[in-house]
Amino acid sequence: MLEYISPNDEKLFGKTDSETLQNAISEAEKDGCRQILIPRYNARMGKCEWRIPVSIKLPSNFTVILDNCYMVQETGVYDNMFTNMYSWDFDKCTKMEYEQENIAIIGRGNVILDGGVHNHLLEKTAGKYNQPPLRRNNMFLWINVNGLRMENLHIENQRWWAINHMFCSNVKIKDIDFYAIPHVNNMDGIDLRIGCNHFDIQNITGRTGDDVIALTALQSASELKNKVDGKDCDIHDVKIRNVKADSYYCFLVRLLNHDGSNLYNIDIDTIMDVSDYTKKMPSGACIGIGSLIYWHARPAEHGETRNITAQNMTSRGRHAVSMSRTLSHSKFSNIKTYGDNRNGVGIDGKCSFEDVSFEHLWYGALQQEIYAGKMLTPEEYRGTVIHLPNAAGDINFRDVNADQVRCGICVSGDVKVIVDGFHCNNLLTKLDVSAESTLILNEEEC
Amino acid sequence: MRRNANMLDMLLRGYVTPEDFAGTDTERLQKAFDASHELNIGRVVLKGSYAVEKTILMQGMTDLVLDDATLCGTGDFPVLANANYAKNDSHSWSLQDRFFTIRGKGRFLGDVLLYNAFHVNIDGVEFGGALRFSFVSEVRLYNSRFTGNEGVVITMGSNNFIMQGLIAECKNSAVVMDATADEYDYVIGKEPEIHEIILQDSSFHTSASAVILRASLDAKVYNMQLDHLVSDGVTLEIGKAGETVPAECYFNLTGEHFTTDAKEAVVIHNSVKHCYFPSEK
Repeated sequence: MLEYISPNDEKLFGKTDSETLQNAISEAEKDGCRQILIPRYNARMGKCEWRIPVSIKLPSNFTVILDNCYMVQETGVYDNMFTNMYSWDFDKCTKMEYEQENIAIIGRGNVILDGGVHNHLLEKTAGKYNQPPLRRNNMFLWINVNGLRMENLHIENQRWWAINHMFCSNVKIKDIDFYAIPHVNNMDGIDLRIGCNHFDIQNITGRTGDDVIALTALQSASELKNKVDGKDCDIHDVKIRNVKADSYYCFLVRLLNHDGSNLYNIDIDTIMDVSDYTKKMPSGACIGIGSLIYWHARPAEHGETRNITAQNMTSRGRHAVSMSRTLSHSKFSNIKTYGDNRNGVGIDGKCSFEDVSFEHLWYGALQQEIYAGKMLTPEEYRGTVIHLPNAAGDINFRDVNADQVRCGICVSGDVKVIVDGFHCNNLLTKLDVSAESTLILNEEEC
Repeated sequence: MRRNANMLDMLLRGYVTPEDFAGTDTERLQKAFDASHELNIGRVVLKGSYAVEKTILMQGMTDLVLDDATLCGTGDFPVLANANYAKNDSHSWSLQDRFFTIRGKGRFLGDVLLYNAFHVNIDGVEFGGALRFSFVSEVRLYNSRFTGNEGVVITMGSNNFIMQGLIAECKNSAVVMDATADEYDYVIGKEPEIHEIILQDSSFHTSASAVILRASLDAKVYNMQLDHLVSDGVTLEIGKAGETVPAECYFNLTGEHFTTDAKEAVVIHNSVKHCYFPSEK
């Protein structure tokens, strides 16, 4: 048995690079090594480039080593670069007995995967006018896979969401770097859709054209078409560590569930918004939770978004943490804002809370301070440290620090907010609390 | 002159070695890096010991694999640097070198310098001298060992680092982030600050403070996440005794889960802003 099969073996050459690579995969299955190595040099074409017109379909228990290579999706085609064997076979990918397992894509050296020239398959045209489904534009599409590993890849110019998972579990993703110029909508980095659990995502960097990592459990008709019999539609047990990226105007980590799907046991550590301060619109938030829109059957109900822990966030977005709809049993710690940040912690629309706490929040350090050493005049202050309009339930804060801010705490709705340790200076308005809300600030009711 | 391999052999093999060429160690090393770039092979594999008499320069898109290799500098110059270091007309943001990987089992006895570059990945390498970054961004530095006077030296204009699994046995500090240091040359179009640095899961045995941060009025130090660090003495030292800059020069710093025998895990010489050191002993 060989260590791996190389696609540069003449007898494996096909009419396209996709065919050649698929032949190498078949050969590796026959050989028993179940591993191919895609080198930099493409002997069939005599170039240091692999052009992919048709998705490379991977069987179970299989490893692809990307060895210092450059791969690009072919111009004018509608297909993924890599996917699992059954992802486009609806009869099989929706059955537990066809669940695939143990697929790995490992980069060695400088690996660049390029979406190439965009094919104009967009959200508004997909599935219409004889256009294929939009999921054809994922660079990686994984459906119903247990045991997946992706490491050390630089992904450029993704045509839509770069890496998309549905009904996948036990997934490890490490050292992925993105570079996207957002010329079309939704050039996300990593997406977990319904039925995903037990993910470990670490060291994600670069620039995407939308959310960097999105956990979105939504049950649209197209999602349910891939529903795996016997698997639930929740997203749970996801660990994310070190996301240092520019999410364009969206979220670095997006958490969203509706339609009866639960989202729980999410552990997030170290999120740095490194977006370009010169752009006109800041990013959405380090972490964006929930939404009042995007639901199909019904919106998320209280208790369905729960057990979220997040710590060590540095944000220059519209919020450091943005919340909407509902959140329970969650804890956030060590949140710092800088640059153009509008609100420290904020609600988008409305949100109900139960057992939600924030501690160690620092708000301030505007861009002018950073780059010009200029102090703002009070008229230039903006943003709110704690911005909770239309809130309900209970929410707690401890150790909140801010300077040069328009408003300290803004609360409305039937909510009880406890803030313990509120240290602010240079405020235009310290508190803005509506009559139906209760605010206990430093142990005194306001 | 190529001795053992022609161009197609090297392309199919996927790497170049100094043994493909004739000359002194320094000449053969440089020819290997040049051929790797010219032929778009993008990989140099080194095996054995090499005496380096002048700085070896590598172009962008290089994967340097060390297969039980040692590069030993014979003088006071960097053993290895990216090509921009030697180009007087490339000190501009738009001309930065990109994509370097240095990995495998090997040692550099002498400094390694990255200047005006981005996308640098280093994994599993031993550095007998310092590993220096000047105007470099997007760095991943993993599982490496440092045994020289200083370990990692990050100076002006460097940002976006993830460093994990470092071990240092240094006479001075293991990780120095110094925005006050004199630069080789300022890179036009880059900001002078040092920022967005993650340093985690590392162990330092040093005579001086393990990690040092130094900012100036012109070049601030901000947005740092340092956690799970073990050190013999002080883990983190911020500023320099007797030198004062405004607190805004050091902001958004987090240091937590420090393990040390020293009285204080964190020593702060300068006022700081929006910093979180819960594990301060």
